[in-house]
Parts: sequence; C-alpha cells; structure tokens
Amino acid sequence: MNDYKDIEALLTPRVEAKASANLRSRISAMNHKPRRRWWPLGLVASMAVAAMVCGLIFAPAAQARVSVRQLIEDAITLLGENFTIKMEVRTTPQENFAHFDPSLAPIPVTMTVCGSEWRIDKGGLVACGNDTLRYEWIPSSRRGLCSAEGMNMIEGFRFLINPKAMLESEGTQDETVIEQEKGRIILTAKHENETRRYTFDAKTHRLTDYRVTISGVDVVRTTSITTGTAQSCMVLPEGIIWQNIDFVTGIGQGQAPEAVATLILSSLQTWDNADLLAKAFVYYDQESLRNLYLGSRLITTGRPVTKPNRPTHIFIPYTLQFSDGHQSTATLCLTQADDGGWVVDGGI
Amino acid sequence: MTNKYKQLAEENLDYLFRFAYFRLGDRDDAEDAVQETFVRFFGKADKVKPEKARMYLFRTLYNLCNSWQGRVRHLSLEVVGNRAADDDSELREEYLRIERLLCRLPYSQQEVIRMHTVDSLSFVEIAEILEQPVTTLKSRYQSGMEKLRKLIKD
Repeated sequence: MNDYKDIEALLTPRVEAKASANLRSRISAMNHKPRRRWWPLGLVASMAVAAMVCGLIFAPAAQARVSVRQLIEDAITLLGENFTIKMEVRTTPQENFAHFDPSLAPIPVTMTVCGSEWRIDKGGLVACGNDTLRYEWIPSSRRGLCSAEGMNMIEGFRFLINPKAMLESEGTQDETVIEQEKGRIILTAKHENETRRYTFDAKTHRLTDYRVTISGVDVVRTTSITTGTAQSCMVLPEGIIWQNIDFVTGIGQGQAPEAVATLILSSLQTWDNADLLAKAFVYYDQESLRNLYLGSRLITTGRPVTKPNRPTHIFIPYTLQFSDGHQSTATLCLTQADDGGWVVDGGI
Repeated sequence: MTNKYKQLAEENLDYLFRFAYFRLGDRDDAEDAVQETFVRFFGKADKVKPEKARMYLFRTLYNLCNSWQGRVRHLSLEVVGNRAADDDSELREEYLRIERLLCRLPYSQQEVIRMHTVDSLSFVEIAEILEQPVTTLKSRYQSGMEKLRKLIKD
C-alpha cells in the first residue's frame, strides 16, 4: 500500500478524546446479570423439567421456540448468495434510489444478487455493481453514470440488497418482537422512522417475505423471493455513454443553497446557460430535462430544510410554471459535489 | 460487575468514546451511545465469546451510531460547531476539522479511513465490524486516500 503518512497525520485527532468520569461511573455501576442456574433444586426437579420439555417437544401441536439469532442465521444460510427478490416499492420509476414516499402508488422493482454482484431494476432506472464498480442508467436514454470507487448510487436500496446485514442488524434492536402463527414466524423490528416485518417459514426458517412500513403504510413489500436462479447481474446495455462521477464538480461554491436553487431553476426558461445546467444536473439525462423544462418560469422558492435521514442534502421547495401554463410545486434536492459546489440530486 | 467485565470496560471505554464522538460530534450523544452499547453487551455477555467481546462492543456501537446519526446529523457542521458547551471546544474543533476533510469522500471510503486513522483500528478489526473482506477495505482506503491527497493539493 502507498505511503499515506502525511494524510494519516492530518486525520489523526490532535486532542485526546476521553470518556468523562460520569460515564465511567455509569458503566461501572452496571450489573452484568448471568443466566440463573438452579442447581439446588436437585434431581427430582430436574427430572420433572426434563419430562415437561419432552412433552412439549413431542406434543403434536407443539411449536419449537426459536431464538432471533438462530432464526436469522438459518434464514441467511438458506438465502445463500444468489437470489432474486421481486417487490413493490412506493417510489417513482425514474427518481433516484433514495426516494420512498408513502403517498405514492407502489411500482414493481426487481432486485438480483449474484455473489458480490447485484442489480436493481425499477423499470425507469436500473443500477448494478459489485464491490468497486457501479453503473446506473435510464433505459429510455443513452446516458448512464458509472463509478470505479464503489460510490453509493442506490442509497436506501443498499440495505435491501444486503439482506444478510439487514437481518443481522435486527438482532441488536431492543424493540424486536417475534411471534408464530399458522406455520409462519414473524419478526417485527421497530426502527426510528420505520418498522420492518420479516416472515419466515416456521419449519425451515426460510425468509418468505419482508416489508418496510412508514407511517402505517408499506413502502416496500416483497412479492416473491427465489434463490439460486440469478444468472448474471453485471450485464450492461449497449450504446450507452457512461459518465464517471467519482469526482463531480458543482456550481455556486460558497453560495447559499437557496441562491443556487434559484439560479438553477431560473435558468430552465431559456436554457442559455447550458454549461451551468450540465454541471447542476450531472446525475440527469440533460436532453430529456431540456425537452421537459425548456420554457418553464420560476414562480417561487421556499425556505431550505434538511431531513434527518439525509443529512448531506438540502431540500428547497419551489413552484414552476410550465410553457403550457400549468404550475407545479416540488422540492429540489441539492447536495455538495466533490469540489464544494452544488448539484441537483432529486426533486426534478 | 465481575472483574473480567470491569477490565474490558476500563480497557476500551476511551476507545469506544472516541469512536462514537468522531461519528456523532457531541459528548452527550457519544456517551449515551457508549452506555447503550454496554447495556446491550451486558444483556448478551453470556453468549459472546471473551475473545470476540471487544469487537462485539465496537460493532454494536457502530450500528448504534449509524441509527443515531439520523437523529443527530441533521444539524449542519456549523450548528454542531456552535453548540453551547465549551468544555470540549478543542475536541469539537478536531471533529469538525476531520469531518470537513472526510465529507468529500463517498461514505464507504470515509468509514474505512475514519476507522483506520481516527479510531486506530486494524484492517482485520475493521473487516469484523463492517463484515467486508480486508482486500475490499484496503482498496477503499487507498482510493479514498488518493482522492484526499488530490483534494488537499488542489
């Protein structure tokens, strides 16, 4: 590996980070509670317990209790490293992969994993990749994005393509509930903004379904999970011009995001400032955008806000009047590019 | 607390606090996350092999920090920098200085670099936390460092 001592020195904290005395006392006051053992109960009690356990195991209607850990381990093993998951997701076919919205109608999404390779197809937007290479393209356009540095193009979907990590993370949640009914085991894990519900076959522990619920609405719901069927994930379409986005330059370095949003949106009307728009819409198919937005007049922009689940993005509400006279209100999403400028990353 | 757990906590407390602080950027949040990590650890300590206990703590804390970031990170760097308490002003400056360098990189590269340089974890330890092959992590580290070198030169 190259010598990075100079940069490593820059990244090494120059101030000692020490836990406070208060935390030390809080930790030392904690009690580790070992599992209770009832040795003094003696042989008679042990035999009684053994008989009871045998009764439970061999009773026809008995259902063996299973630990969350065991259930998850079995499900991961059975899922293997080659599977296809079909699901319905409340998003739009061409919006980026971070976009989930309980108010939208569900669309079909197919996710395939073949070892370290994966592919997600939303119909209007497809992405595939492995540990380092990533591709994303709109099938109806001839332009696509690529990264050779493992850039996260699929945002929220990155958890869905890695059920192993997702399932394992559930084992650490406090609010994990497990219940059995009609040959199924259902594991429900409550997270800060969402609830994830996994259904397993009670006999084999195979994962048969999972869904993610936000505000009481299923935003992700599987329709089928099949294993061992995926052929290849990294098949790329022909005739696409790939743009590398490992180092992206934006616009308006040092400017407030609302000023940049106003500049971008007001440039749509004439499209005279094509260079600026090309940089701002680096993640988009410019030709399609031009066809759609040329002649649109910016009516207003609102106050920028941030969202807890996307801390690196700024959201600016806006209203545009299209060339046919109708008005549309949406929320532009800006994010900082590698050079400190801004680029659009959603909401258009 | 039994002696072996007391020793484990004493040996790792500062490392765990630093790990959490350089992700959450706030002492109270970082200490709460570390405390929660130990609460979870003690709840399952019987099931964790002694030789795996240290990495179990880091992995639990890593997961907690990730789920807490949504709660904490919606504050911009400037807002975090202006938080009232001044006892940790130097440490907070360090957090902001390092975060400003790392935030230009893809998240996957940030994490490996942060763990190796800020948290002084080996690639084998990072592989255990992130469940990724060491070769992949080294490649991410190298790509991220090259990108940082270019950014710093420019």
